[in-house]
Amino acid sequence: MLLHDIYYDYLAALRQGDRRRALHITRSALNEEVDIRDIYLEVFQPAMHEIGRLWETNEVTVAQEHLATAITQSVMAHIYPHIAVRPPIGRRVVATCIGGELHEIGIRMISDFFDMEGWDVFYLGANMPTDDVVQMVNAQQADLLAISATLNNHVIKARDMIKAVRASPRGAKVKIIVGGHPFTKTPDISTTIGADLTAPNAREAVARVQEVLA
Amino acid sequence: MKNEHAHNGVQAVTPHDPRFLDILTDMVLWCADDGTITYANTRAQSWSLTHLAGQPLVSLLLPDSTGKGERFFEAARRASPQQPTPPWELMLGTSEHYTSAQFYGYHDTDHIVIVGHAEPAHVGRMQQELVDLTSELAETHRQIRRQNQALQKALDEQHQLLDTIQQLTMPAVPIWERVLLLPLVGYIDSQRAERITSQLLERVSTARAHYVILDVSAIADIDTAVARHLIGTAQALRLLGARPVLVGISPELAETVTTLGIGLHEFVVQSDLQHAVAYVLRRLRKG
Repeated sequence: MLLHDIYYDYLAALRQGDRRRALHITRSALNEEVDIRDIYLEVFQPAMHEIGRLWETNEVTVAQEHLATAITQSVMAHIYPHIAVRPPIGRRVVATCIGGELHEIGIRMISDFFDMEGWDVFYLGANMPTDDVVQMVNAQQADLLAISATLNNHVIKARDMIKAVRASPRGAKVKIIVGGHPFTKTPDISTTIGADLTAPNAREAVARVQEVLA
Repeated sequence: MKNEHAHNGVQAVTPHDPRFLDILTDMVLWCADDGTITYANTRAQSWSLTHLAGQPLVSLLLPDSTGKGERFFEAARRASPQQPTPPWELMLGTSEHYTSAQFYGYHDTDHIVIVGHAEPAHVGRMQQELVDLTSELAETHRQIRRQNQALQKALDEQHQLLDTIQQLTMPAVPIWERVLLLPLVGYIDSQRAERITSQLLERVSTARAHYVILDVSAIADIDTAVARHLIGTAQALRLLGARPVLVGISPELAETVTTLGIGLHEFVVQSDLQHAVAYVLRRLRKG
């Protein structure tokens, strides 16, 4: 089955709010040896974007959008055991997102991608206070901090968070990657607000971070 | 749709009787052609900290809704009082505490009328709470699976270690001509007991042993199944012509044996290894 067909099936399940079907479609794809990374990037991510676009054009309600988010989160949790995790490589990443739980899926994908590469992932939920993020980065002696921001007004909060982390003991050592809609649109803001790098998707994020830390 | 307007009293009212508009539970806004608010009733104003008149319509909305709000306004600009827009869902409030509201609008002579109805606050809170719960649940789910993987790995390592220990356990050591010593160490389950027995019998037969000293003092725990097995081993040894000498019986083993109601008459029992060796040597000299 082509990834594109899986995407359409999955999107239809999301639009119908059918969690079981969404899970079934994903499991069948995994059984057919489709790479879990491709499912993340070619099915989940575009499907969630499409749901967002349908809301924008008044074709789905925010309640349906919430349900789609919940379904995808649940599916991701269910298929977690299918993730073939590489042996630990001794690197640690702290991951967090600015904005509510509705915007969490992106950073969860990033977490899973780093997990697959053998990183120790410390996932902080949405809307984590800056102090907690700083504390976690230092307590874990993190090699990387990943921040996702979905809306333009999140960028200021991301900048403040980066500033606080840089001022902490681990600040000089930790690399900071930012991602999300505002940075995909204008990648240059990432360096303006003090981040080391940005990436348009989870696969690129892993590749670029490994390049920087190599 | 037309009846709904009449019901809300929107078509009937004019800017000249604003007190009537202010008691409505619907938001009512008038906008200029460029989207600037020229009038907002009390209900609409309650959603904004700044004075709405003079502001663009989208300033009333959550930043997430700005693009959609502009599209909605375009649709309202093209709609007529007889055929207003279908309901559009837009968000009010802040990113943390938002409420969704249904809006419709139409172009009326020189201005655009926008009417909105926010869903009750608890509906939005409930939805948000649900998303939060799902998010927490999903994360817990993942953590459990992560922990399970780590546990599985630890378990595999432990199994390997146990295998190594079992392989390291010597079945029986010859300590004198025709005398074998079998020191049993650690935890013994039925499977291990069986393997030890078969190896021991093999050794006894090839070494033509006359005495086998079984030292059980270093065994962690003996259950009834293993105790029975020991008795069976003793019987088998007798058949092969070797005499089993048991040493190092702990109070627990003594209790197990009495509970089972089996006698240890198959064995010669000695208190410790030294006495056992002395006994065997004495018997060999006599023999």
